[in-house]
Amino acid sequence: MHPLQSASPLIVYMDFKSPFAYLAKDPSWQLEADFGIQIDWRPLTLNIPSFLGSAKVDKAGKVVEENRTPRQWQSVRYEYMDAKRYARLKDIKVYGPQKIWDSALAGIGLLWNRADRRALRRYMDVVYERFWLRQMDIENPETVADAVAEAGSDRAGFLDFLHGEGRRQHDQLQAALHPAGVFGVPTYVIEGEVFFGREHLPMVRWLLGGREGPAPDVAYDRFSPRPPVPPAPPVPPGANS
Amino acid sequence: MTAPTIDLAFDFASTASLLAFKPTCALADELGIDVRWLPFPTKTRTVPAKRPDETVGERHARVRAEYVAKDFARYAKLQGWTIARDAAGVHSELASMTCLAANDNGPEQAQAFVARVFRDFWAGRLDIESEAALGGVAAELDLELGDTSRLPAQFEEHRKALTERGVFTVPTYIVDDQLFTGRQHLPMIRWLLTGSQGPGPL
Repeated sequence: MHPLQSASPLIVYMDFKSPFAYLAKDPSWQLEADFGIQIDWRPLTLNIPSFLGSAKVDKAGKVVEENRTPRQWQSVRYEYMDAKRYARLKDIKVYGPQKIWDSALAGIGLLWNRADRRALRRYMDVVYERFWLRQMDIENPETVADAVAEAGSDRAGFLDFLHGEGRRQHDQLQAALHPAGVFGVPTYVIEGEVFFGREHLPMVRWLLGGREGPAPDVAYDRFSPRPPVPPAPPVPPGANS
Repeated sequence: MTAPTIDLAFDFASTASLLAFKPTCALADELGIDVRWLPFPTKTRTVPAKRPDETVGERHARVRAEYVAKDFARYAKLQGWTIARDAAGVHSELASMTCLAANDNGPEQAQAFVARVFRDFWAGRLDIESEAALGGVAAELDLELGDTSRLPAQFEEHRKALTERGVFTVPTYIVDDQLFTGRQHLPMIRWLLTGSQGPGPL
């Protein structure tokens, strides 16, 4: 799997432990309906301590362990506050995680479901919602397998995949991402160009829509569904003769 | 009741601040309100060189910095800016102090100063560490800078006040006592300043 190449016109990298990827999930799925495409969804398992330090909090939200600079704390606090205020506008609940999770298993679940669009969407909905309600342990293979089954996919098959081909695919992809310039989520790859963050959705839509009108700037915005493509006018009798 | 404004903490030497300038002015024009230009110098970041022994964190920082530089170039082109330099090692404190003095000339004059400094600095035509060069810009725009000896102390107070309001990076908008980092929040700022009608942006 080449990080920047796909049979699909759009690759989207996601991580279940990112609130920003959660916020981007539905507007990104909307692209499939609006442009009649199938997104190539892929996992990017963030190594958060490597760039934002690490911390653990107790149930009351008190920090019990930490390895962060004051600047990293400011950045993390701002980012969660920012994600939460946008989430509120969409009635999405985002509870701050109590530790930094390893989301690799959930990412392998995404890989497993890629072939079945309905199962994939259901799986993403279930895992994002439960994880951010603190109702799902995404480090537990059995819990992830339950979500796979709930999405309508093969649980036993997933567990085999998780311990074999899935893990191999996941790890190979993760190792290839930095060299390809992909480092965060959500990331959109279109025409070989990398766009990090849902603020690029206007640009992604502009590119998918055939570059109509002036190119847009970045924006966190809401997009009305595009009108369906009108049916072709009937061909008058004899027109093709 | 005071008229609403968009308060924007920015840095002349920040690429993200440059890209926020035009869309911010456009929104202020659309809403018929003023922008308060609040200079806030930050540490300029350069793209680290690739090293064979870099840690995962260092590699992440490098890849991210490379991306940010590329992203800046594509949107700067789209916004019509001429970019002929980078800001590595540039200190924008003096330009920030001059901006504070420009603010005393009223919002239109202040905006003209900010526009000119952004344009000429990034086009490689203005040394923002030179008092004479900045004074020249002010004179061309007929700005009254007053007694500039007061500016260092005034600037320190201004910077401290912004820090106390929670500003730690640029560009940061302060609207309704909320902080928004980055121009991508302009739809949210428009929504807030127009009465939060209808579904909010996402």
